[in-house]
Amino acid sequence: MLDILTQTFMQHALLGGLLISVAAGIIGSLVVIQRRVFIAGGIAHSAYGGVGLAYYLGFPPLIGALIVSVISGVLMGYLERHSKERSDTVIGVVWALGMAIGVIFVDLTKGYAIDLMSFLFGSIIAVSRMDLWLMAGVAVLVLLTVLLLFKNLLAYSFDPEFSVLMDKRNKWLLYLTLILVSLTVVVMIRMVGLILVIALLTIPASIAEKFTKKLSTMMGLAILLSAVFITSGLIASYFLNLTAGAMIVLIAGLTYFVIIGTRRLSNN
Amino acid sequence: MSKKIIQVKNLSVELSGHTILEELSFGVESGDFFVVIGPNGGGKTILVKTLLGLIKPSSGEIIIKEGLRIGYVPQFVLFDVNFPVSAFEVAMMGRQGHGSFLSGYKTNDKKKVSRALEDVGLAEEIYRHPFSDLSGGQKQRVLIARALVSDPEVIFLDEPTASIDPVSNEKVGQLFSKLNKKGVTIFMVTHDVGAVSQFITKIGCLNRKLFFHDSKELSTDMVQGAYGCYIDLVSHGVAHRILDKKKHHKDA
Repeated sequence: MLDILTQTFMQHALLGGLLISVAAGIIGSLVVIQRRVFIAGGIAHSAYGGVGLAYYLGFPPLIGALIVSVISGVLMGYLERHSKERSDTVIGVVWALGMAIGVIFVDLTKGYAIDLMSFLFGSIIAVSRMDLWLMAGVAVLVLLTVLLLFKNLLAYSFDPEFSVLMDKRNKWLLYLTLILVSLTVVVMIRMVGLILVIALLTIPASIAEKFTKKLSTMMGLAILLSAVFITSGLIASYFLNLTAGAMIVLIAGLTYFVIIGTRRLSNN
Repeated sequence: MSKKIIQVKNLSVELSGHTILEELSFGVESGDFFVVIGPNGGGKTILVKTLLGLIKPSSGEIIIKEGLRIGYVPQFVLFDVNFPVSAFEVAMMGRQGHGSFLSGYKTNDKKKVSRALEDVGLAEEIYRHPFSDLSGGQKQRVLIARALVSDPEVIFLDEPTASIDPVSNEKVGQLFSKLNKKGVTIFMVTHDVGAVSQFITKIGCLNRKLFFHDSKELSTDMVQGAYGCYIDLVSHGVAHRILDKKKHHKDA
């Protein structure tokens, strides 16, 4: 049982899991209360455009994903605020466009890009030392931002118009939130893949919301739940020899429905 | 020198090709209890949001006294029913912009919020309750407290008495009157003036165009202009107290 901890890739995966839990719990809570789950999905999928571009140009795919997801996050925020079109339609277009660009760049790249699947579904073997530093950096950035701007983020999430009316600077919180979502999504892609990111971002926060009506508690609880889901998913996938990202989301999703079900029953 | 704090000239607003507000002109003076009534879809909420600068006018101008401190009470029904926030935290949001952007609220802010919640008649034990668990009347009062703590010279209210029970309605109306007597200017849009009719100093009817005579009298031509039908209005009980008074005058 304990030999799981002597394997370097498992050590990296477990440590990485704890690090991304911090960002996922906090940012997931903001995404859920601001009802921006769809934008988060758009960011995750358009990140594939960055992966493809990076393969084509020959630089690290994670850096490509990082740049493109931040750009698409800010773009979707801008379009949501300024476009006359329905914002969910616009987000859907950016979502698909990002993926299409990724696929085309991969087509154009000579030779077979072997670990592209790991970006779609995640790979625990893929977590490098550099990835861990990146995850730690994002965790610290997210934590610091929320500590410094908690009152503004709470007010902006609750009633954006009112908070901007009280303090004009609050209008930048939309972009700040979306940049943090982009960074969080990119580091999570390593672990669960871009297709499953949304689940890991929203499930812990949604469960946490059922047990508290205080945002700070919700964030803390969501961090804890993410850590439990990721760790148990990693261990289960190690012993069962199954894809880790899918295992993590399976555990999280089942827990979600069990909790909703039991609360329903106890309410009746 | 007039005490005009807001001057609106030929204001028009178009949204996705539709004219929502057309050539509105009116002024709000310091100390006014200004009420705009009108049917649903007549542009009342859009008018408030345009005055607040949340919606850009397509033509015309809005001149607002420099440095005017503004309070805003939106319709509470628009809020997410699951949002994790307490009544006290919501009221506290009115203190944004009063301290440093990066630091939390100060003791002084908290004292002010407690006082405002007391002023609007909320019992202390519900300060810590989730906002989502409160009744309509309580939510409305929390939002009024949130507007009060920003030390406003003028408060904009969007349907403050909609979907709350008659008793709360009466209390909220008296609260506005008390504020107004303290010198706070009230600008309210509503389809139901019942609870505040006796406090009004200026009234207008809005249905795309504003029917306004710079007085507190609601004349039948204003109502007819906005609603297109006098009888319909009375049967809905809107503004009947004011209208009844006029009718009695005519009868006598």
